[in-house]
Amino acid sequence: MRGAILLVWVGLAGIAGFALFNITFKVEQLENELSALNKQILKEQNTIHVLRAEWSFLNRPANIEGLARELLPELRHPQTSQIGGIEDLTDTPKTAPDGLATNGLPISKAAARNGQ
Amino acid sequence: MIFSRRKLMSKKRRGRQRAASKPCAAFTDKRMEHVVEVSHTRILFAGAMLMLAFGAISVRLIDIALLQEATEPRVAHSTRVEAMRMDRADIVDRNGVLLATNLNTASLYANPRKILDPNEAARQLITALPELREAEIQRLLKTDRAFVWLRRNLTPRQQQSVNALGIPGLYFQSAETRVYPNGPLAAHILGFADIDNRGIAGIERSFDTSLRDNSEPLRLTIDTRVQHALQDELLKAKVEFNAIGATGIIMDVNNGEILAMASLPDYDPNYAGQALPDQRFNRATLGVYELGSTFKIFTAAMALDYGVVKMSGGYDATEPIRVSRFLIRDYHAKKRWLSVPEIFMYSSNIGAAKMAQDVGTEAQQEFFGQLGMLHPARVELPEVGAPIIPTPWRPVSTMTISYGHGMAVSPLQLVSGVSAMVNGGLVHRATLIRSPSTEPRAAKRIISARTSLEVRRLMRLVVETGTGKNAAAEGYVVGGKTGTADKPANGGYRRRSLISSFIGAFPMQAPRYVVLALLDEPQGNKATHGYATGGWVAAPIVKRVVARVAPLLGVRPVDETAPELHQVLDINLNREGRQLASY
Repeated sequence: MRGAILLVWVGLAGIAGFALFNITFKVEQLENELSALNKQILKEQNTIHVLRAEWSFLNRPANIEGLARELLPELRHPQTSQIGGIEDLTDTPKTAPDGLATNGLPISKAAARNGQ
Repeated sequence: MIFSRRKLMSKKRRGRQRAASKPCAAFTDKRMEHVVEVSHTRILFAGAMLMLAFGAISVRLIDIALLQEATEPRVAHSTRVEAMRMDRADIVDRNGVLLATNLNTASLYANPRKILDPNEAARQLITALPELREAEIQRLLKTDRAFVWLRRNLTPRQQQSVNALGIPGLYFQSAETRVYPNGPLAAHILGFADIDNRGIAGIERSFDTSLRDNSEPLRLTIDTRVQHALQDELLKAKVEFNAIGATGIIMDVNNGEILAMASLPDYDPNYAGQALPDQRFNRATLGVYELGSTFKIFTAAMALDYGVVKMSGGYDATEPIRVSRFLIRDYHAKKRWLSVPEIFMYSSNIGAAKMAQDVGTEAQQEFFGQLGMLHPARVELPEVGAPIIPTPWRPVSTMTISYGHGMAVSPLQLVSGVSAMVNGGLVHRATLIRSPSTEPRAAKRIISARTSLEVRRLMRLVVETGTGKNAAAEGYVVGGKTGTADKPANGGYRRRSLISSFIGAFPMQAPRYVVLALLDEPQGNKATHGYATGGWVAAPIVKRVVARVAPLLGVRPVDETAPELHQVLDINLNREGRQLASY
């Protein structure tokens, strides 16, 4: 009986030892992974930081204006008449998709007026 | 071990039994007993050793597995990574656009003692860095020192080229460099930091400590787009009128936030060391100028608010006023009695001087004191100029100050003052730092809302029918005042050196922004018929700036002939019984 108990204890100690080692190695492995990921995150953060600076550099208003002048020579500052709110828009387009002049009327009415 | 002991004990017993039965075997039994005792001791010893070894292993195992965490590197164990931290926090505009940031760069240095062939190394190095001078590099590499800087802040490409040369004795040192991606845009506001990342000028200097301590970006009130529009239009005008300098400010009248502030000539803070003193001089806050007729806004507001004159009242401006050595006269002389709106509209110095005389010296001093014009402007910049005020403040000073002579203030002080005149009468402290709270900023009342409305009507009149017609940006109901002042020199004034300005606000029915444009020594040209006055050279800048920035700031153009506008901004011009619709 005593021998059996002893055997059980020895067995338990062995299992505990194995589990302890196993956990230790797993934790070590995960820590290495975490460390690599953290390093990667820091590197990405640095890259994003540099890209933000580059974005700001490329978006300098003077640069955009220069590019617009070069690539869109017809582009002008908007005139006051071109600026308005969404509520200024009429419900219907002035010209229907098929080229029918609507003069602001709903398409059906405009079509009826034009005898179409 | 216990097993073996039991075995031994049973053997002992068996031995004794044998000894009792066989006396001749007594000697052999004794010997056996001795052997057993020795074996017993050895086994015990070996067992103890094994126990000790396993104990040591167990202790070490527990130590490695459970207790060693504290000595491991922090990053490896932390479950979340710390945000990247630079030596200096970023500066961003009101919309989060990056204005200043720190970037990691490599700097190239050499250990000349380890350079094998300085001539060859220098020859190779200039192929990668052509901006270096070969002779200078040779000289540096031939020194007996162990450390010489060759080039600070290389681009990654340059670093790669130098690395590819494979010259022994060359090394890189990584360091943070302050970078201003927008170049000269808002240079005078941002200032710059030196090579050791210490703030030297502008916001960089005023907020040096907090920029070093915090990682959160510092948010300014500046709007990059508005800043560019202002800077661009000022530069065009400066070139067109061959001015030696220019400055401009756009301020939110309802909270004192500065949306744009430019001073020309400017500089690129990335190369601040190459900037000339004139380029680094901030005309908007450090420069103080006699600003001329724009001061009539204050004179009129003061007189109307103190009740010394009404809008329907006026003064005789037939004859110039001679006071001691001064002759106060009108540039646009009408040589007759002028009503208050007319005095403002025609920018009559005589009328303004008489108005100020009625207000009195003390009241004028108190008024300017409350406006903050007798002390340096309170703004978050180290470059702030002290105003030049007359001491003693004689009655003649009162008269000349009424039309902007004899007292010099910074353009920022003028803008803050005019904001208070048009926003309903509240003085806000000018600021460049965007507050995260939405609470209204502290303000103190200087004139009544009624007077403020009258001032707005007067300013609208100037743009509608007076000297500021060139500032009329269609649809944005601009109002303002022109200012043209001779620059002082040797105790007198230089007639051909002008400070020409225009200060406007829009939309006048409910002002939101004040815009100042000022040119230093502009020269008239054919287009302006040779005139270099505020109305000719500065008012058009304000017109163009307003037309460009109003849509960005969400100010909708309105129909300027609408009756609602007439109702708010109409003015009764008491001129031979005629009413002038000016709105």
